[in-house]
Amino acid sequence: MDQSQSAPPPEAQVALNEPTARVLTWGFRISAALLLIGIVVSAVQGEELHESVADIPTIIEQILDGNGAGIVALGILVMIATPIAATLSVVLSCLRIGDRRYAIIASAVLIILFISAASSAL
Amino acid sequence: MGILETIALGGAAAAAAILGSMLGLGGGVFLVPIFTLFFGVDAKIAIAASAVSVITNSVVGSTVHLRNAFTNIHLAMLLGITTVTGAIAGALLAIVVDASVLYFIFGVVLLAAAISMLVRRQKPIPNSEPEVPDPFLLRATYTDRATGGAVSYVPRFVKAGLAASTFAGVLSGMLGVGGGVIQVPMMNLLMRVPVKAAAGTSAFLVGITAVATATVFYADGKVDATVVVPAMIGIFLGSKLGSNLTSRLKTANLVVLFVAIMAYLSISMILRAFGITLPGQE
Repeated sequence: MDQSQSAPPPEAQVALNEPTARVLTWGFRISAALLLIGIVVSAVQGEELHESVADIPTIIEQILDGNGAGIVALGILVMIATPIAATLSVVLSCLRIGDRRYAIIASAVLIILFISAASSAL
Repeated sequence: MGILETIALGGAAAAAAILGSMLGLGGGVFLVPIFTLFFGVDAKIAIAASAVSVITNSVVGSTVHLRNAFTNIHLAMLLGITTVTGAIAGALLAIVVDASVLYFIFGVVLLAAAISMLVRRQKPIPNSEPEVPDPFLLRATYTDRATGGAVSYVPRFVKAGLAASTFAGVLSGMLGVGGGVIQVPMMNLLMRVPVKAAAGTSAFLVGITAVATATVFYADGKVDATVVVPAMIGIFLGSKLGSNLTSRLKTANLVVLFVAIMAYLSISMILRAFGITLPGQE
């Protein structure tokens, strides 16, 4: 192990880590806000949360109807989608700094996640 | 589900997270046994809730690790290919097998984790030399605040790490646990990644892995908002509390107690696989 008294992380590392951290932070904030709003709306309306989180078109319908459980379901889905958005951010950051090899590798992870999500939805 | 039961689920999730955080295992390892054994939650719904909670913990925890440069994104992406593939396979298996199989496998994994807690190495593993070849471009650097120095390392034995990650992914997908319980020791002991970098990289990677698990269970209708929401909130708050307690308490003294709890839960899960319910359980 090299423990020199110098060198912050290399610029390329910072260029990858910072945008990814920002995406995760915002994903959490949006999800937490939706969950909070959804729980409050559900409580005010006196309705219970749904036992099975519905598909996306149904969730959108529920939200348009002012249904709190739909907002909670969207909050859960935003949380699940946040690491996917972070992986997409890695792909874009790699392309921006000319790191083509890891842009391809991160894209492969993203494609596997999309295939999983898409095949599950069928 | 009534408000009291929801609060109880949240409290149990927080307790699971505190235990997991103090042992460095993550809350998922305890969440599924506690939900299934004491609240009668269906095993597959508990696994789905655990997977979403693992994502929540990863999303929150990774931001700090990323900003401290503990997370090696190159390594996370490379291992992500096999881990995520393994997780999808594991989650698909979990959907089709009988719940008793899941109880049994979970019990065995928990027992193995308990034994590993007792025989865990106390001495730090020497990290890799930065001069070694780096064909996968995985070299990374972070500043260790404890020493004030920059730590540079190159992960070793990458192909073996990829194989081990597949196994971690299958377990993660099947049981809804993060997989960090395998990933961190594997990166540290096998790949010679410093512990802080292994923990930071694993925290990011388990979130991506759990997405694969969660999407499979979501499509199967197993993401139950009445269980997921208290689990997410409980795990989030419990992890924060657990981290604070870990820094204040001498957890080494509590390890024997925690291992006893793990052994009890693991034996309970194995017995449940054979249809035996211990007193006080549902």
